[in-house]
Amino acid sequence: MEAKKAKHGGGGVSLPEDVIFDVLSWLPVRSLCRFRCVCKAWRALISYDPAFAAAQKSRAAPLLAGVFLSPDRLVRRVALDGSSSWEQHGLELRVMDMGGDVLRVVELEGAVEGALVPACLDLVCVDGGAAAARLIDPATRRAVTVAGGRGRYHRFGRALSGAYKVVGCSGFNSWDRHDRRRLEITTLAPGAGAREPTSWRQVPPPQPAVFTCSCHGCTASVNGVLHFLTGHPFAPTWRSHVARLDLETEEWMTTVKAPATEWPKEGERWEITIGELKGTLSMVETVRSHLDGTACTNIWLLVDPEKGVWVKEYTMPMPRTVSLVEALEVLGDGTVLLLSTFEIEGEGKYSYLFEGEKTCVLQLYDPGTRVCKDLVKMAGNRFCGKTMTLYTGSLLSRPTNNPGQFSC
Amino acid sequence: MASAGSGDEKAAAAAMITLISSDNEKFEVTEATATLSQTIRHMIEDGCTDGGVPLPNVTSKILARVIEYCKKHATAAAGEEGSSSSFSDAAFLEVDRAFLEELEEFDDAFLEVDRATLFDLILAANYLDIKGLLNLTCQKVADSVKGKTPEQIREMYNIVNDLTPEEEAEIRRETQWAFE
Repeated sequence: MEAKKAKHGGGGVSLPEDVIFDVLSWLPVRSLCRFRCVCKAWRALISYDPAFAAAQKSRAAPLLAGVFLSPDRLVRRVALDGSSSWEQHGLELRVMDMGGDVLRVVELEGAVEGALVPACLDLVCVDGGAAAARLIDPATRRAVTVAGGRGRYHRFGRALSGAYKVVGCSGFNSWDRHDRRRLEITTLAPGAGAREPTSWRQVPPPQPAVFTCSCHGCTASVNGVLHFLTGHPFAPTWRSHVARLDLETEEWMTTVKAPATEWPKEGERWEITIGELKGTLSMVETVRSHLDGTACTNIWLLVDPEKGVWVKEYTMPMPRTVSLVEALEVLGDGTVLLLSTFEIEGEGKYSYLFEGEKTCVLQLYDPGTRVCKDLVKMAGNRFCGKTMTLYTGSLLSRPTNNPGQFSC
Repeated sequence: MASAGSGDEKAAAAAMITLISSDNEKFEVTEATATLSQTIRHMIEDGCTDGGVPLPNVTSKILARVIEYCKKHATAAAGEEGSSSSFSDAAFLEVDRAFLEELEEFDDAFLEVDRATLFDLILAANYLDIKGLLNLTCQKVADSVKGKTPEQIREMYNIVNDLTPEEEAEIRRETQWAFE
């Protein structure tokens, strides 16, 4: 049992076999990928042991996925008159750690539009707009295209049964027709090919009909339920309710009231996003007052979805240039991982009336000191969609060991 | 008053556990300290700690260190329980913060040991099922190897590379980025 009994040599002390699993499971993905070539036993443990992959994932800092412009991919554009030009236009999906270290890049072929759909799952959904949605498994680089629907936006989630579902949301032409927006839903079959024909099922509108916003910050898939911020489009606090679509039954659940936020005062600007935090729905409201130059972000958690009970979990002071805050995760030490968007201050650039240039920063908020620490600045000219999502899969699993959710 | 005092003493005495190392050294510890080990906790629950708890896998040198860790962290656990109800109270938060910092300093100093001792501590923590100590010691080893190359790892831990050059080249090719 004792390490010192192990033979000495080359100045080294042998690592007792019993502790290898425990020690290696504390290492980040980058080190582990390198250590696969230490010896056969290490390779087997790191690449092919599901228990090890699970332990490592539970200990490692969260991984994030985002869509970026490819730095060195040129796309040839052909105009109607036959002339062509090369543009730097390719997009890629990047999986990175909290330090901004890019661990995996998956090129998004042909996706001209490409907005990441936040979902906190082991598959990542990139919305190609009206054309299609693409589901990508970053571990295996496999992708499935879901197309053929009438949706102009796609949302993505996982039903409680484990089935992955894509929801297509139609656009709307005028405010008074908001209740006629169509939703359709499809299930991603296990083992589906790269371009399976997709059969869409219509989802009737919720009763009573409400305006459901489908922009990325206004939808969130949590615990098998797809949430939409809703309300009357002309009310100052129009995001007054949350409509909930059960991804399993594909039926609407009871709508819950948004937390009792105040009505914006004159000169105040509110931005709201919803997402998943601490295993439940979160609503993040960022309030800026241009009269006194103060700003803060509140995070509410829906602690009881049945009774519609919200708790204001955090109130974070923010600089006055803050524009939008998304809450991504609460880490083991209680700090909160945020993706914050700030307006860039400068001559003629800062105005509360107009949208100026913006910058996105990954931040860590410490509730003890109430201070936000910058982790990584997302390169503004490369970061697309202004959003990121947690990637909950493991980059350690290998295609040969992991049959994956689908093949192609 | 006197009888109440002796009653307390009796309760305290009853809550003492004797741990016996592999080289037969005896350590008297409080139940609160001993039950940081899930293994010992289960033995106490099963009522088989009379006459001491033999730990044939742990030497006295290592057991002394493990007990040192458990004593410190048992106090911490008791402190947390006492103040958990007053989380909103800024003063209590301040106390907690100071205490946690002190605990962190203790852990850092505790880990200042040679590699062989560190491995023995991991094995003891594993056997005694002391989660905090196991995590702490494993993290320490993980931190020390995180940035190393496979060659350095093999040298540090006397590992023979049994992969063929082709297999090694394949791994390097697959995850080139991890080697940069």
